[in-house]
This record gives sequence, C-alpha cells and structure tokens, in this order.
Amino acid sequence: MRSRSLWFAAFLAGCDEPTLNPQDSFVSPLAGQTGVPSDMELLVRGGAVEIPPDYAVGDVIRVVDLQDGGFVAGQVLMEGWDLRFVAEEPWVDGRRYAWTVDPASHVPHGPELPIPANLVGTSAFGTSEAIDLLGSTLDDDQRACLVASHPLEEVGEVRITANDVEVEDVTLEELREIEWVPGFARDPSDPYVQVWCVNSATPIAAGAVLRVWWGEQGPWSLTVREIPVEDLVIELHRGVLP
Amino acid sequence: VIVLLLSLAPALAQDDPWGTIDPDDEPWDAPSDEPTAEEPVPDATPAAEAPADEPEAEEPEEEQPARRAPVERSPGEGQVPEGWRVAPFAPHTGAKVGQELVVGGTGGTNATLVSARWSNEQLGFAVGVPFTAYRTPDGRTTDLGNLQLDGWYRLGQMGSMEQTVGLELHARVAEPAWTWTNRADDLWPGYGADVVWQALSTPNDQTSIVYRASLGAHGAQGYEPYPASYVRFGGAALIDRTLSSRVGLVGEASFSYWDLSPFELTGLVRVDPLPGIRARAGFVMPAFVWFGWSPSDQAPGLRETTAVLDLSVVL
Repeated sequence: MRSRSLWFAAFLAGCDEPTLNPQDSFVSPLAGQTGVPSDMELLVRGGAVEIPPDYAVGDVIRVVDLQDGGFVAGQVLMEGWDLRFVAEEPWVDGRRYAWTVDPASHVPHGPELPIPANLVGTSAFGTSEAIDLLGSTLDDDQRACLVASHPLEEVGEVRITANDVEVEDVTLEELREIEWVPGFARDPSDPYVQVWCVNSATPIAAGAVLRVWWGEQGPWSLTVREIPVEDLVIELHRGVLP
Repeated sequence: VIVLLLSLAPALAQDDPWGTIDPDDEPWDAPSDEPTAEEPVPDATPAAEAPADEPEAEEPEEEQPARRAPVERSPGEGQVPEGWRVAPFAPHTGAKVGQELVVGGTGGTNATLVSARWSNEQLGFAVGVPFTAYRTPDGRTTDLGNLQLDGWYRLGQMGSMEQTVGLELHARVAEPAWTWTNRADDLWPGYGADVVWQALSTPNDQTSIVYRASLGAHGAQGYEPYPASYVRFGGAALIDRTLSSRVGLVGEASFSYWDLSPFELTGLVRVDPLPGIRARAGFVMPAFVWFGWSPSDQAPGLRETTAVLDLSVVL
C-alpha cells in the first residue's frame, strides 16, 4: 500500500520513498491542450488511494470557466487510484477552462487523500480548435521539435526564426506518438497533442529562442530545451520523470 | 461538570461542609476560647484548681448523650491516580463519563466515553464505549467508536512500587467512525490488544507517581493515515499532586509509536466535591503534532489541542 504511514515508517527507518513510473501518476488533458471534446472527463491518475466507502471525496478537483470566472459544477469520482472530474454539463465549445488539483481537500482528523506533489497544481485546457505551441526541445537527431496543442490535419506554411535569425528551408515532420509517449492510458475520445520536428538548412541549438508563425497564427515564442521529447510531454502531463 | 464545580465552590473552602449534619443530633455547642467550669484549663496551676471540698468537675462524657458517629467517606477516598494514557488500576469499582473536544483550526472532533470498572484487591475489569461527532466533507456526523475491554492483575508491592499488569483490548462493534482524537484506537475502526505494565510509587502522602509501559498489536481499516496493521509500543509517566483534601493536579507525559499523536503532555485539575465523586478537567497537548512529527497530514503549528473533562463515581 502506497501509504504516508508507511512513508513515515520508512522515514524513521531511513528508507527511500517508493518510486513511480510516468504512467502511474499524471493528469489529463495536458497543460494547454486544446480541442478537448465536450464530454471528456478530467483525469488524475495515481491521485487517489482508497478512502472509506460512502465517504465523500471532497473538492479535490475544481474547475473554473475562464470566460465567466465561475466554478463548473461537477462530481469528483474515485476509481481505484484515479480521480475523475465529470462536469454536469458538457464543456462549452470555444471556451478555455482552468482546473486545479488541490492537496488539502480532506477534513482534519479524517481519512486523507494524499495527492502526490507532482499532480498538485493548476493548468488550463480549451475546447476550441485554435492551435497553440506548448513547448520545444531537441530530439535524438538534434532537431528542434514543437508540441502542438492538438493534432493538425494540414501543416500549412510555417515560418521560424531562431534568435531572430530566419531559419531557412523549414519543413515539419510529425513524430509518431509511439516514438515518444510512454504508454499513457487515456480517454479514447481524447485527440491529444502532436509533436512536429523541424527539418531545416539552419541548425537550431538548445537554448535558442524560436519565434514561430503557423499559417495565419502566431508568433509564439519558445525556448528550445535539451530534454527528451517524451520528458517534455510528461511534464505537460505533470507526470513523474523517469 | 462546570455547573457542579461552581455550585460547590463555597463548600470547597470548608473542611467538611456536609458530613456531620444530622437533624436528630443535639444542638452542637461551638467550642469557646474561654475555659468553662466543665473544662479545666489543661495547664492550670495548682492554685487555680478547685478546692477539694467543692464538688468535682463533672465528667461531661457521661452526661452528654452519646453522639452517633456518622458513617462517611472522605472526599477522594477510593479514587486512584489516573491520567489520560495511564489507567486507574487500584481497587476501584465505579463508572465514568468523559468528554474529549479537539479544539482549534484542525479540531472539530468530539468524543464521549462511557465506561464502567469493577475490581477487587487482585483483579480488575473495565468496559467502555466511545461515541463521537466529527466533520466529514458532507458535514457533521455521529458514530460509535470501538468497544474497549480492559483486564488487570495486581502483582502487589514489589520494591518501592505497587505493580500491576493488564491487557487492554478494543474492537469495532458498530458502524465505523472515520476520525480520531488523541488515543488513536478509540474511534477509528479497528481491533487490537496491548499488554500493559503500570507501577505506582507514593513518595509522600500528597504525591503519587505512576509509570506505564505497553506493547501491542493492532489492525485497523487501512485508509490513510492508518496502516492496516501495526505494532505499538509506548511509555508514560504521571504525577498526581494533592493540593487539598478535595483538589489535586495531574500531569502526564506519554510517548507511543505507531500513533497519530506520538508524544503528548497532559495537565488536569481534579476535584473531589463529594465522597466517591471525582471531576477532572484539563488539556491534552499533542506536542509532536504541533511539530509536524505525526503520520497524519498536518502542517506544523499550534492548530489544535484537546480539552478533556470527565466525571467518575466510585462505589
């Protein structure tokens, strides 16, 4: 049992806490994801240990509609180690929502839901089809890769500058999911995100500041990091890095 | 208890305000500082003695009707030292109702323990059941705690101390109460047994010291922060100081592991307003919880303490 009591005992005994895999503990949708279906549930995996039957979970997950600032009515359900937020009404198309996983949701002197620290926090998601770029890093071939907030049917025209120098002969190549996602289980209706890697005549180094125009949209400003692509996606999931 | 104490406050200043009043008694002549004819001055000089030819001073004992000696117990008689972890183990038959109120920002749990105890010179047994009102995310609710059964055997005087061993059992018997106060096993559903040793030392008439050690195995509903099973060892020391015939102070320090409140300091005032009745009030201060050294999810800080009250009757 992954238990604080055992951690406390382990602390006294001088042992380390148990380790988690990225698939064991993450949130979905990803931070900044767009195109979220109207009926998609918000998932906190690994956020729950058992609490007594018929005992209320409390406000572990709170959702705010960023258009009107009001709380979204819904239920927090617990299934195994998962917490799910099911909104009473479908997500409204074209809106952005902020959702918060709260660590202090239990009452004092009562059963506790020890939410792992990596899952605690606030992020946003949207239901519109507007594209957003969520991050950039180098892949194994030292290409700059961009995480798009939802899958694109057509790439369209892309213009990139690196440190204000135009990047020549830009073409984008989609990185297949199987190549970088370490098996996150998710809602079948979830369109997820997409990763595009930049093939260009101009090399792009880690630390470079990219400005990206994608068709009519942009520019986005991104700093190229030097971490594996899958780690960047895990971060957007608030997952535990391997 | 507070109303009772307030009503008894004037009486507490007297030595014995109730015990000797009997409507059948003769009116009682208050003693005077002045010597009377019947009461020769003890240190009178021979010159002050009555002449031999005068009638001798009467013997008042023979002329006064015999006063009935009222059968009474003094306040505190039959009561034994008891703390919050240290149990009463001397010959002691009676009943008790106790109240714990966790007060402060992380408080809100109240527990009432009703218990009865029987013992003779060698053996003792106790049974108790707590019930509680506590907070849940859906609001307040009430439930029953774990049934408690204690048994004691007096080893007798060993060295300078009166020693006793016991077995303390608890088991869930009703709908679970998902909360706890200072004693982790009173309310949260579970079962277990502790072997207990206690020793009483009385350095003087006003002071009693009790030492306690315990070791036990427990099972509980294994939802955070409780483990499904655990071993507990603990120790406690209590000092009971009598201030007057009716009033005393009790201080206790206790440590135990595994426990949600591993180290506590307890201070109690005890009052014996009537023979056989003892009221206590005070606070249990969960020091390690304040320091954040607790297996529950509570940040360090003085966020709670437990007010305790109880009233016991010794038969």
